[in-house]
Amino acid sequence: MRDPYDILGVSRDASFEEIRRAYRKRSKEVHPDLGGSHEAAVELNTAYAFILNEIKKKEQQRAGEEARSQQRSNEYGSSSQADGGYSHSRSSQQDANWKNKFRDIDEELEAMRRASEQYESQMRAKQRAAWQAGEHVTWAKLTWDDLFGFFTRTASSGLKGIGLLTVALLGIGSWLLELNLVSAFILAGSLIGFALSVALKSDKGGLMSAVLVLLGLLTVWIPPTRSLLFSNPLATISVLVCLALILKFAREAGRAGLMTGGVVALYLIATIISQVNPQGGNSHGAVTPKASVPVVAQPTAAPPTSAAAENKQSSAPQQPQAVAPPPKPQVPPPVESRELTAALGVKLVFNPDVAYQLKVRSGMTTTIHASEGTVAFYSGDKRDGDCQASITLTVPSSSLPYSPINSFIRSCGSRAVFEVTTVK
Amino acid sequence: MTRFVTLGAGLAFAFAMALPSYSQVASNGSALLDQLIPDSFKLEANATAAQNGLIDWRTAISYSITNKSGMNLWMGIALDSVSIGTCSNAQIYHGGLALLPTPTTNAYSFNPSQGLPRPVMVPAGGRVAGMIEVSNCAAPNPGFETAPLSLSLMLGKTNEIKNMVEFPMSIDAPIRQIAPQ
Repeated sequence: MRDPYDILGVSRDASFEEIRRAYRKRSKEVHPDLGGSHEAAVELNTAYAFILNEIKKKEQQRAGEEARSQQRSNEYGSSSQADGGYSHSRSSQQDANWKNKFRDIDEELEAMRRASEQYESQMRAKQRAAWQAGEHVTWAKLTWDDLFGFFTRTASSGLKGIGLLTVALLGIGSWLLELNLVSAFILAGSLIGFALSVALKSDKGGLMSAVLVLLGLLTVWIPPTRSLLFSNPLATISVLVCLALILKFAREAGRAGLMTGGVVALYLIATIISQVNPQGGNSHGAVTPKASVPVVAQPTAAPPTSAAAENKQSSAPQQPQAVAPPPKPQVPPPVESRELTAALGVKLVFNPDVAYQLKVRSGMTTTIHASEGTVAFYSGDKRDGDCQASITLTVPSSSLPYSPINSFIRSCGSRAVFEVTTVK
Repeated sequence: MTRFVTLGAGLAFAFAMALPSYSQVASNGSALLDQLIPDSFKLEANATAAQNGLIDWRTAISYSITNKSGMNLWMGIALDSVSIGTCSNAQIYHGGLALLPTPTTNAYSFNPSQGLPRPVMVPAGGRVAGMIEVSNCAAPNPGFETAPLSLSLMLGKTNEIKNMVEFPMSIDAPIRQIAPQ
């Protein structure tokens, strides 16, 4: 850092008047409007303010010492009474001079402070005008003092400050909670954008940032939204591009922007629905049949495998535990199909009101016995045969180790549990 | 004014989303849990306890798990769910199933050389075996010929840990002590 006295080009014992003259002279050389630079002007002003404060400090120190020596001299006897009036008048004259000098220095400092504030307000006005004119690069000229002032004002501004800090805490907390990169970027970016928008008093920027904050929180708390961003990057990029187009159109052509927004909204809704509910109502990851259509929609489903049908007929007299079928419900319940694999030793659980697609070993005969409840074969929503407690299934050889049988299996009444006893 | 109205609406929405009950409702896996019964998995295990230093005991658990659920499942063992006798703090595992963070785990550490722990696909009827070492023992094992072994399986129809459910299991595992060196 340069010596302030060197910057002004004055000696260290220069008087206030000499320093002021030097400052005026140097100002004309370094002022930005007169060919100088902003940095040089700031340096000169800082040096001038420093020297003025130094002078003021020295004068105050000297005044204090003289006052103490005056007090000591007054404590001596009447010998000094004769010239006491002269000393008193000289002291009063010095006080007046110092007060005048202090006043001049204070006025100089106050003038500099006002000029600084005026400059900052002008800069803010320029930034705001530039932002409103679309020159968003002006944001880069935001100073740290602006940001510091913003946070100071925010912290002491009551409800709205608390609200902003709460949003920031929620965002950071969500970030730490989830530790996923997409949400972290969205939240961090939008919170910074929101803070800058408030600092610059930009309603549009604040609105956009607030929406982005909500999007970030959505990605944290609603996993499908996040998985949408993760798994469909192309769709995400498309949506962001469309959003940018909406903003552009909304500014120049309101109706076109509205229409574009409607299309994008429909696209978003459709994408999210397809992401959340790809199987039309089965959102819990339950496996559906290969045809991926509800069982009730299957036309003329094939009957059970011949072996199973034969087994049904042949085993009927051998299975005394087979129970009478329950009365069919008037309105068929909504069908949810799940897939089970009949490997040896496996316990197959058949829950009520659920259609199961059973896979058995290709080219082999699989026997399952009930340890709880009974089941029946279904073609679509129509039951084929009675409820059974023991079933033998055979499917032809295939390239796959397990092949699905042609019928669905549903429990008769309450839950049924079957064990795969033989596969041979 | 607009930004404060938006901020207020955003705050209300954020608080609504932050309710713990929402997270519980939003969790899935109920369809998978419907299919599970106590016999859906068969756990077999034995253990050896060895003294490590003067006061430390370590117990190595050898286990095998058979998937009898009738479903091809992605499986793992929940982190911090393994205990045998008085021993806990399972950090080391080899073969078989990985120690996975539960969906509610916020932060955890893992061995960088092994990479992030991943669920293992176990087909219906399949059997998986491995070893887990537990290091934090309040008292030397074995005090008895068997010790209760408990662990929670992590199960999912996909390999996304966030969508997996926990299935607790417990058996009395035979345990033997290796003489100190």
